[in-house]
Amino acid sequence: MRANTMKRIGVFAALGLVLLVLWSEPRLEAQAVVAEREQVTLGSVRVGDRMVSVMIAYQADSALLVAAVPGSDGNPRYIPLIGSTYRGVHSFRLDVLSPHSSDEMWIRTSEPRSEVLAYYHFGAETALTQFGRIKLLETPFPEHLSGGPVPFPKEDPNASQLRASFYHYDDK
Amino acid sequence: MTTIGDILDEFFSPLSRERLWIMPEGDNYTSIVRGWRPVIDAVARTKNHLQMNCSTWSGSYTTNPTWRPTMTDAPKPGAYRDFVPSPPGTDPQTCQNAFVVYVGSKAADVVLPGTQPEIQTRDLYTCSIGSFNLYSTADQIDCVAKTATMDFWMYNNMSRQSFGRFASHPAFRLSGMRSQYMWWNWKESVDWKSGTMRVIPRTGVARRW
Repeated sequence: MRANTMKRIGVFAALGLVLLVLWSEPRLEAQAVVAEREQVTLGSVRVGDRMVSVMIAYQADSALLVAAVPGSDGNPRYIPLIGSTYRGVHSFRLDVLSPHSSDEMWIRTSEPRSEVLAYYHFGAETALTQFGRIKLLETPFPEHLSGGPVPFPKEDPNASQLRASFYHYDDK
Repeated sequence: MTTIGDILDEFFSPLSRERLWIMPEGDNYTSIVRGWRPVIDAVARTKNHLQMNCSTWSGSYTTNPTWRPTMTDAPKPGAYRDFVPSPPGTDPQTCQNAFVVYVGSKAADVVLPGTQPEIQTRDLYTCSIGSFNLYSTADQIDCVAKTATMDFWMYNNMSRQSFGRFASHPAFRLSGMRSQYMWWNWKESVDWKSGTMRVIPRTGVARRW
C-alpha cells in the first residue's frame, strides 16, 4: 500500500515536471525534433573492390540497422537488417562473411543469438533479408518494410572468410 | 481493459520496472490500434500478400500455438512481418500536445475540487506507440477454398529512447523509464473467393488471454 502511494506521488511529480518543461519549451524547439533523422555509421569493410558500410538510421522513435552497398548508378543502396520500434537497436555483434571470390556476402549476428540477417550477391538489385527477398532500398528511411523470412543460401564454412565484425551496445 | 495512462504511469514512475503488456482482442487498446490508419494499411498489405502467396503462407507462416510474447525485441519467428517506423500522426508536436492534455488533466485532478477525469485522447494512445511491428501467421489456411484465419500480433517497445531528446532532459531524472513491452493480439477470418479479400465475421471468439 505504502509502495503504491509512493509510486503515485512519484508519477505525479515526474509528470508535473515534464509538463512544466513541455510548456516552457519554445515551439521552434519542438519543430526541430520533427527532423530527428540521423545516420550513424558503425564501420565499413572492403569486400573485393566494393565497400560495405553498416549503419543505423534513426528516426524520432525508431531505428533501422542497414548495410549500405554500392548501387549500379554509383549511389548507395541499403539492405535492411533489423527494424526497431524505439530510437535504438538492441546490443549485437554483427559479422560480415564472404567467400574468396568476393562476389557475395552473408551478414549475420553472433550475439545475442546466431542468425543470418541478410544474403547479397554483389551487383544484384535484390537481397535476401528477414523480410524475404526485397529490392535494395534507395533510402534507409523507408515508410514501411513488409515480408516474411525465407531460407538463406547455405554458407560454405571452408570457403567463407570473416571480413569484419561490428559491435553495438544499447544502453536502454 | 488497458489504458495508456496505466502504461505511461508505469513508465514514468521513479519505481518503474520492465513490464510485459498483452492486450487481447477484447481490450479497449486493441480496438483503438485496429482502427488506426497505419495499422489498417499494414493489415491490408499483409492480406494482399496472403492472397497472392497462399502456398508460401501455408508452408512458412502458419501459427505455432506454443509461442508466447516475451520481453524482447526479437522478431516473432516464422511470421510474416510489417515494420512501420514513425508513421504519420506520431510526430513530436502531435505527441507533445496529447501528452500536455493528459498531464494537465492529472494536475487538474489534484488542484481542483472533486474528481476530475483523466483525458487520454486517441492521439495519446497512438503517439505512445509510434513505430510498430506487425507479425502475422495463419491459424488455419485453405488455398483451394481461399479461406484463412489470421493471427495478428502487433509489437512496440516503449523505451527511454522512444521519447527522443526529451528523455535526456533533467526533468526526466525522476523517471525510471524502464522498457514497456507492448503486444496487441487479434484474429481475423478472411476469404478471397471472389478475388477481393473479405473479412468473415467470427462467432464464439475464444479469448486466448
